[in-house]
Amino acid sequence: VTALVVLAALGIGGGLVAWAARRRGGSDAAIGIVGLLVFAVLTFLAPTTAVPSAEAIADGTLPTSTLGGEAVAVTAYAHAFLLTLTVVGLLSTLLWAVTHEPGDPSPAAAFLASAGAAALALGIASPVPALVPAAVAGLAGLLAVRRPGSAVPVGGVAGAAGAGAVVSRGVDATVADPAAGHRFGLDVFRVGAGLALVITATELLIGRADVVAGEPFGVGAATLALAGGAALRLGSVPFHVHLARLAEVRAAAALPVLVLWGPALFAIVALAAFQGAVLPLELPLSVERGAIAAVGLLTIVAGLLGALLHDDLDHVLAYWVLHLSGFALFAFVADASAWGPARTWLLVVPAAATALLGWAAATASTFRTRSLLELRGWARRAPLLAIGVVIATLATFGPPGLAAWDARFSLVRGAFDGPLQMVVDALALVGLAILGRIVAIGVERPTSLVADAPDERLRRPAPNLRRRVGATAREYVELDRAPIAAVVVLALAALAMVVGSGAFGLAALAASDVPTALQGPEPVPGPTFQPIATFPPSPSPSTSASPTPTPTTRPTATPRPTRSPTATPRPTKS
Amino acid sequence: VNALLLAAGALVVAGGIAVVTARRPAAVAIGTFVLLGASPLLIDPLPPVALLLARIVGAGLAAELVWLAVRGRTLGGASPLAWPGVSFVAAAAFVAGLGIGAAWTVGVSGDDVADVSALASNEALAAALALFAVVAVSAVGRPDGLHLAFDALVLVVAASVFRLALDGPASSLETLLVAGAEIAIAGAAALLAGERRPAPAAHRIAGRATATDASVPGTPVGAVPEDAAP
Repeated sequence: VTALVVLAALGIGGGLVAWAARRRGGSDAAIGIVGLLVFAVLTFLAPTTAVPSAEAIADGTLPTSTLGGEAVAVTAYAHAFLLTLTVVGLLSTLLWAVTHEPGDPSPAAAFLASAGAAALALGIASPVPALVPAAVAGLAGLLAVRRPGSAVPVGGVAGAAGAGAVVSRGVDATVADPAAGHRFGLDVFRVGAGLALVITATELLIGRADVVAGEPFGVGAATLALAGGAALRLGSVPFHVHLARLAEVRAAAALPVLVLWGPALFAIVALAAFQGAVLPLELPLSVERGAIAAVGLLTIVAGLLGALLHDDLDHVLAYWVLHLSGFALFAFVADASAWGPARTWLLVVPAAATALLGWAAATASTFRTRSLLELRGWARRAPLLAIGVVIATLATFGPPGLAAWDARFSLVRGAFDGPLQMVVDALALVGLAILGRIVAIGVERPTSLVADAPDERLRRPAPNLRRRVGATAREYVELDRAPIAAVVVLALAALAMVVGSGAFGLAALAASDVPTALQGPEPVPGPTFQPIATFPPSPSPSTSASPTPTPTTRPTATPRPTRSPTATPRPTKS
Repeated sequence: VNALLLAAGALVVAGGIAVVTARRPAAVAIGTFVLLGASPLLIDPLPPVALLLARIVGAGLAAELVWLAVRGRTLGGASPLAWPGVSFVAAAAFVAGLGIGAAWTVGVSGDDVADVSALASNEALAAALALFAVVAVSAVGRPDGLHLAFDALVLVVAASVFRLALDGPASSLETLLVAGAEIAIAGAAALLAGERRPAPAAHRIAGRATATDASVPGTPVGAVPEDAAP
């Protein structure tokens, strides 16, 4: 309990302090880096425990740590997730230091606050309370967003008179980029909507009224809502456009937490709710599972096509992420065996995709363009970056037998069988075409823009004995931005490869702590649903003014349903 | 039906309506406080005093964040309907929620089954459905970023109240987490509101705004920000 409280307080508090330091013109990146380092060390030192099952808690057979009435545990998987998140945060902050433009906030505060919320989300045994910090973890990305209207050159009407003066449709009209305010607002709305969907659906399944338990239609609707909440956060079809629109906004530092780590964490907890509330009912739900699988498949195809057809680097990356996250939806189709592969996949994808976003940021910073058409020959000029993008991509594939490969194809096998499984397997492999396209563009004859860009050789500033050490370091960084950024991208890609390869027993950690059947409050002895009583038919004959009165017959009373759903114990899954 | 719970439910729904439809910043902030502060009162017996205080302090903090974000601005409101229209929709959903709750709690005449409550709070279910209806009306009106965040706030409260209705009182940790999430969303709304800037000198001299954002159709001409005075 102490470890969990300390991690949560350090993460959320430290993130807010770092953000406040930026607001006061301080060094938010330095505070954030220190905070992330301390967080990583404390996570490493925190003792791990297993998640206690509901039966063990009830029987008192397992010593259980409780915090505020909830069983909590820092599991080994939580260790792996938090350590990966903090190291990725550290590397992303380093990358920001050499690629950011003036006024861009650092991602350290967002990563730190997100890690604190993630510690709570992964530490609370019951998925319903855990959904709340899981949703907030994604919101933490907004700490790395430049506040609309701040330090942005404005012109025309907005700069001369409109700013801060007149608002018609909310305050967006006052910001320099109204679209940014709307897109981030939409992201906040998706957080709220996803949370409301999953909580409502879970409550319908396990709540006191026991509304839909045992009813295939009701359980199916609740299942669709559970998967829909996860799909909404992951940006799946038909909610996919938002991801690309968000990538257009100049907020590269916020994207990893907003669209990768936050949604992945939320999907993990929503999957725990699904496995604890739906699977124990052992209903086939063929139609609902088919619909979810179709959405996942459409997401994969849409992501693939978008990444192959778009020329803008941000759009390519957004659709690439979409393609990868589509596989996670298959976990809501498969049985309980998908728990391990899904959790592995939901850790591999944000790690690898953060490396890909880092590659895009470094490429754009080095070559001063985000158009693939203008990036011809980039790989010749920046071979380290090329190696980085290849490693980051392979981290989501890996040779057969490694964790990422097994997770991806286990999810497909859990959702499909027969010829369709082969088709989806093939689609998964076609994802390599995205990498092929980028690399193929990179080995072409360089454009003049690429040829004039700095290469990856280290440069030294001219000797100056009167220069201070700090100034010398700044000159080094200024001269060597391209190679430093490339090295950091390589480190991010290597970390993704470590995760994707399943090092440190990641697959086994992810497969542990399988959710048990969720237990709602004790059912009450009364009826769970009864139609509202209607007045009994009048025994007197009808007095209507019908010209041809028909003989009235006493209607037979509809027999009251004798079903007593709450009397049936919910099947438990061992 | 418990009259006190009914009053608390009506307060919560009124707060939700104020958050998404009000054009005055103070009304939005007060609505936020009422929405968040009254939502834990929808259960009988009430939660422990310490938890209630925590929720009320959280509501105050969230309302303060919203106030800091929107003060001095004229808001357009998120809803395509004005507050009377939204109120009617919410009232209909509220009554429907009470009816659904009654269907779950009352045995049919004949009484071979016990006449006990299947829900923890009918009024909470009614309030949750009304808040969901309010958000649905608001979300179809193409709200701007700030009001989307307000909609998210109402949605989170609706979900927590729905859970209260079906599952009874939440644990202390969950109560605090929900309060934290509400503060976080209010903070996100504050971040999205953007920096307030001093009014241009020409406006201060003239005492009123003369320019509008021509890119936004329907911009009111002559609207004066509350903090435009020097």
